[in-house]
Amino acid sequence: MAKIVMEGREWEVKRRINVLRFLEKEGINPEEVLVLINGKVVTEDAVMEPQDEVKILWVLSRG
Amino acid sequence: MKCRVCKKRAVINLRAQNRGLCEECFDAYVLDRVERTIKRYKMFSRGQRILVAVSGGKDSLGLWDILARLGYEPAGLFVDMGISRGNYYARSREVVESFAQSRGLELVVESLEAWWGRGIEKIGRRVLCPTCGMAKRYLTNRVAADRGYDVLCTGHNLDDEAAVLLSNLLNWQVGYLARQAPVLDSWHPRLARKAKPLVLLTEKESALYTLLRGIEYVEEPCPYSQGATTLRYKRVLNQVEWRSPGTKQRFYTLFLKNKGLFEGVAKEEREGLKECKRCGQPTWEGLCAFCRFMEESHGDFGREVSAGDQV
Repeated sequence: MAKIVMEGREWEVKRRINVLRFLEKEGINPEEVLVLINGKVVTEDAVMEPQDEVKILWVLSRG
Repeated sequence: MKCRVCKKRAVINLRAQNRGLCEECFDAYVLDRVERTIKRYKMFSRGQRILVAVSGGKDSLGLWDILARLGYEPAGLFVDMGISRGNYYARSREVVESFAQSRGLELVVESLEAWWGRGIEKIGRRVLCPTCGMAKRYLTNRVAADRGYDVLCTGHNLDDEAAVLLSNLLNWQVGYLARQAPVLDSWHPRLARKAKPLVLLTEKESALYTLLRGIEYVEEPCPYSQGATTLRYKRVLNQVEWRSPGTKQRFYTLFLKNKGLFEGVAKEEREGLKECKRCGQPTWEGLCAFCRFMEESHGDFGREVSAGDQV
């Protein structure tokens, strides 16, 4: 299953899922993150496969 | 998604411009965007002495990298405010020094403690973001002006500027609105000219640039950070941006187009400028905000190292 990490949060997704669909489902604004699948930056239309390692980077600075 | 230019795999969807870009084309886009911003707002030119205020964060290091790649000769300025909690400034300094060394760039390091005998943790009863920010602005301005730099650059991006604009409008801070601009001319010999070359890049674009360039930066916020208000405004604007791409840029650039509305206030401010009785910095009061704060906190606030002294 795809392992998705974002700043201490972690998800495991069993089925393939579109990045945008995942972000919307989790209430994450795509304007505020970069998504890396297996170390490569992708756009919102990319698909996360069950074997993928996914990292979501929050981009807004907090001072 | 494919790159609009070369059809390779896109790394970003620039929804405001309705196009995707691959890694290489995005890199070229960023360099071009920043160069155009510099020219559009007449920020500075090649051959001038440029100082970039670097904190160790993604925006300032990205900006320093971009300016060097564009053929400017930017020196970096790192100001250690004396925050020891979480080893914050020591780590930031390491990151900045390593960046400068790897690219052969000149770095100026200053510290509040070296100038005034104590760091921000030992001034006042507790560390407050606005106070630290004010002291940092004061010191960066003094270093830039005293050392004769033509311009002091900061890494403020479109999200930063749009959030500040929203905050200033919600509170009708007309003085701040009159002063908010991508470039601030020097009205006084001791006031450095200031420029923000990243104002037309979103925070996401700035973060992606830094990531793709492999620039190591400090991700964690300052341990005393109280940036919750600005962050809230950024998030509100991003919600609108997601539904209506291009909103942030329109909001900011149309404000700049209509800045004449605040010219009366700006003129009044320029004419009311005096010199601080203690340090000679331009101010609207008898003492500048920094000297006023230091005097209120400590009375005699210690030795001030004269301009140009090595610290």
